[in-house]
Amino acid sequence: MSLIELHNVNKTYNNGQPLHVLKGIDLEIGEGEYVSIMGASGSGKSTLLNILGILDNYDTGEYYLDGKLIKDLSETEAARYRNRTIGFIFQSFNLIQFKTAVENVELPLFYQGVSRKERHRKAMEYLERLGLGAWASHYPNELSGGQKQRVAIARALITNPRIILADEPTGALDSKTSLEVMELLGSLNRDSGVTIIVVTHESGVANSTDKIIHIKDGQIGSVTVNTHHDSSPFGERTIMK
Amino acid sequence: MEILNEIWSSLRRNKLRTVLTGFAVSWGLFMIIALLGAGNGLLNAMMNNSGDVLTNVIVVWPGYRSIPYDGMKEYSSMKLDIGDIDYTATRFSDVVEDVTARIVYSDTVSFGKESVSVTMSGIAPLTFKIQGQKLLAGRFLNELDLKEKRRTMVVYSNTAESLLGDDPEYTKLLGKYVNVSGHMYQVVGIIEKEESMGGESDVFIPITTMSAVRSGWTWFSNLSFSFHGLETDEDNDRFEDEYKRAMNARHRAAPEDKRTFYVHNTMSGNMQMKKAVKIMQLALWILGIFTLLSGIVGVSNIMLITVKERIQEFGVRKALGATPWAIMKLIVVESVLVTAVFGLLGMLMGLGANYLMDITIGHSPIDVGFTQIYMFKNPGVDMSIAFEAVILIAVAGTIAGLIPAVKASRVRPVEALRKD
Repeated sequence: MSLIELHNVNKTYNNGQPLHVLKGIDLEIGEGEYVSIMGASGSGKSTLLNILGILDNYDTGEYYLDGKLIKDLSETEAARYRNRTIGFIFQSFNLIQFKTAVENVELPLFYQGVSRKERHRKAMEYLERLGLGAWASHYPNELSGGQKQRVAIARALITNPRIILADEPTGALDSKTSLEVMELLGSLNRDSGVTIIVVTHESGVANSTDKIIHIKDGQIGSVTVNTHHDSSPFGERTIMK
Repeated sequence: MEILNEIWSSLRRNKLRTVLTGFAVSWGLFMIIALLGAGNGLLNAMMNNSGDVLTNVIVVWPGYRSIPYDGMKEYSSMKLDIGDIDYTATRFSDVVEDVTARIVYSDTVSFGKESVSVTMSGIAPLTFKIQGQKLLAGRFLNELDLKEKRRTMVVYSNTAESLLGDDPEYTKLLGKYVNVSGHMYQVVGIIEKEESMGGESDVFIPITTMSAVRSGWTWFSNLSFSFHGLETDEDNDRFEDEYKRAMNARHRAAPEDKRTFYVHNTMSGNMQMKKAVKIMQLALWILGIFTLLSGIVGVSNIMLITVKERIQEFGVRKALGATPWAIMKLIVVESVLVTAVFGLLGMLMGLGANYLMDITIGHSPIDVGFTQIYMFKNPGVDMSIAFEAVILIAVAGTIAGLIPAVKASRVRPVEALRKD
């Protein structure tokens, strides 16, 4: 069984008018894959990612994470999965403003009950690895967009998760920084074998990944294998902005 | 400990919010403590003053028989005699405290060349209390004068002026000896002349001295006594009735005769006083509760806003693995800490305000003659009440935080994260 398996997953939002966002998604993502989910806004790609991250629930179908059916979990159980199995990277970084970079990185370990000293040591280690050691005691508003996203990546990595879910990770960054972030994610995937799923609407971003899942109107369109990174009209090592 | 660190970093980085919440709590507690303290100061002063001035006293004057009885005719005068003092004290010892009587006769007081005709009043110190006279100089007669049958005298200021040959400096007479029918009395006190009084002025000497000087003088104009233990109007009426019957039996009058003795009871006035105190206490409590309520509303309001404001942060925390319980704990411990710390601060400030009241107006008595009264006495609140108020406001703040905390802990992280 693959790390992630979705069978006929449906999701409808009921805000006044019912909105059928996901219309029977079947998806399989294996351990160690570097995948992007690409689609226009409103295609349901973010909803799919939220379901994968157990941030949101789905109506019908089945979602197996590492062989375990993820359905109607209690918030406490869901919190455990988010904490230990999944790392999140958001478009707007979602760093806690009143915490320093290193404190933000420590946070997932805080919820694992890791001691303060051990937490700090590990968080510093990850920040160093991402070249942010000098910025450890800075607050998010003192960091550039790229730095913020690297702090968020360090935070996602610190629990050593099986999967990293990135929702438009380059959405708030310029093209140069975007490229750096995507290369960083790529090298993480290659070096540590962590499964990375990136949601994006930018073909250039998607091109950095090894597999592109196209989603349109709540359905999986096509899956492109992209190991040569040549599916972008702008060629290799470019990100369309 | 870990959670305290979490909270400390959140509070430190959100100073305005912390200060606002804290201010609402501190202000509420400051107000309630200062208010209750001031009210208690007023009440204490009131009780204290009334304790001095308004002892429960019954004054008895002799009247006449309205019913012929035991050979005594209708309209024959009643008389109080020296035996009635002991009789009142012993027969009704369960309620009667001190008994005093007043004997009067006319005489002449002379000092140097001057002499004035006066009404000699043999009294006990309680009389001054009952009549509420105002002391201008020296002192009132006291128990020692009475016990030792001292030749001491208290005179009105105008009598003193006359004896000094119309010298308005009446204090010159203080400590001097005056002559009454060959007996020398030392003037120990001068009291203010009441405007309404005409005719001969009274001079006051101890009743025991008078009895000794004028042996054979056995009846007197009135008798008064202080009492306790009669709480209601009914109790007082019953006692008065019983007292009159007992006195009638002693003085050969019909038991049911109501005209034999006149009774004036100060109790009813005192009861009104007590009622006023009760109303004031009630008003204080209502004010206090409403002040506390406004504090609670303030705290609750800020707590609600705080949680709402932080909903995205909670969403992030949940995405990173915070359980609902962890989120709730964070909010609740924070609100308990903030309300308790600022509550205690407000309480201390309130107690400080009470202390200021105490050392200023609490220690400036107003002279009302025979005694000094305080507008304010021992302002302050029971420490237990102060702490209860702190706990109440902390609990209210917590509950106010708890409602949105529960909501925040239950909300799906995706919804919390969406609110940018």
